[in-house]
Amino acid sequence: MAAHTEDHGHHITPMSVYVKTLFALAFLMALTIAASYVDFGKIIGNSALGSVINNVIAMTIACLKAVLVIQFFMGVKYSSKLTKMWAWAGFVWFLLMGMTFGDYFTRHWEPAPGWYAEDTELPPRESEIRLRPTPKVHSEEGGH
Amino acid sequence: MAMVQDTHGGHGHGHGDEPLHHQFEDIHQQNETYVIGMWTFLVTEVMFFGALFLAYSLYRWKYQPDFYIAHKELSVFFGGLNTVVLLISSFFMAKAVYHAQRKEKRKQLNMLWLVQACAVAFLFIKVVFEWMPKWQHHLTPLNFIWDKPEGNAEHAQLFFSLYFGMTGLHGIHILAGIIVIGALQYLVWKDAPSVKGDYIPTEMIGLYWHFVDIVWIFLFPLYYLLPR
Repeated sequence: MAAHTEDHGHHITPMSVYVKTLFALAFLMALTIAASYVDFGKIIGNSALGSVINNVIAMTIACLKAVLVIQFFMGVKYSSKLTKMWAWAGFVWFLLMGMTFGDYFTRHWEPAPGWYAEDTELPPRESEIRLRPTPKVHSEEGGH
Repeated sequence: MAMVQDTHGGHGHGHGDEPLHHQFEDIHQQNETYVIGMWTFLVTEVMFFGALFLAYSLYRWKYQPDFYIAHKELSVFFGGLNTVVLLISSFFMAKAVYHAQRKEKRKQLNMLWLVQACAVAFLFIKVVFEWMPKWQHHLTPLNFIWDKPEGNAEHAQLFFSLYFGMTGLHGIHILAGIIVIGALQYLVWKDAPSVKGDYIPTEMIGLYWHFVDIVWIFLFPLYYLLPR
């Protein structure tokens, strides 16, 4: 952290670091677009697992890009320990999100419009009336 | 920002040209305080956007096949182009901070103009090539009509409601960025006491701008690059 300092006591990140970060971000963006066109479901012959692989790749690349921006563009890598702790603490939210998911998928939910749309007999919602009448369509997978 | 050891050993000696306020021990403490204050704001922003990402994730999990069909209405080209525009704007913003730290006012202002140009380009692409065609195709939550042969209309509408909610909120952040950066440019240009010789205001606005970039980094794959 004391590698690049000036008399004024603040760190000036060298321009080469910013340039490298920009190129890394552009490369990762190209990679994530390319990966999205690869159908892993077809390759491994399991569409559900393939979808998971695609998602994991896309989110891993997005997290890598975010880390690059935080560390170098936002300069957290060169900041004080207190700043580092505080900055990363914000992203602990995503761990809480995992806990919320656990709750959603283990609890028995009361039927509510929009959540179990197909298996409950609720009065038609305003949005259903507003929609242009279309043949009752479901996805090929046969609904939910 | 980097809180290095005060090599002078004293309280702010040798920092005569830095605008040190009386309540701080030295310029390091002052700068750290500013940066942590800004990060506190950004943490609230993470939680703010986080709730929307959570809503998105739940419905995506629930209605993945319909979301996949609905997402094909979005343009990967313009989404990708906007990603590039924002990444480059972040780079210019980092450069603006770099020049502010070296007290190169002219170059700092030029970099901020380039950030502004990218921000306006982003909004232009977003509105003209993405949002307006969606309105014409009846895909906004206000005039939604789903006449495609496949996909559930309600779930598709949910996808587009989330899309407009999240990209709209992100767009508002870009707009706020344009205003705040404009105010900063004015103050720097006028040599206002609040910014003269102090790079921290630029640094803080830079942190905000990079955060807006990070939000887009996640929005792009989640809306434009769905797997089947």
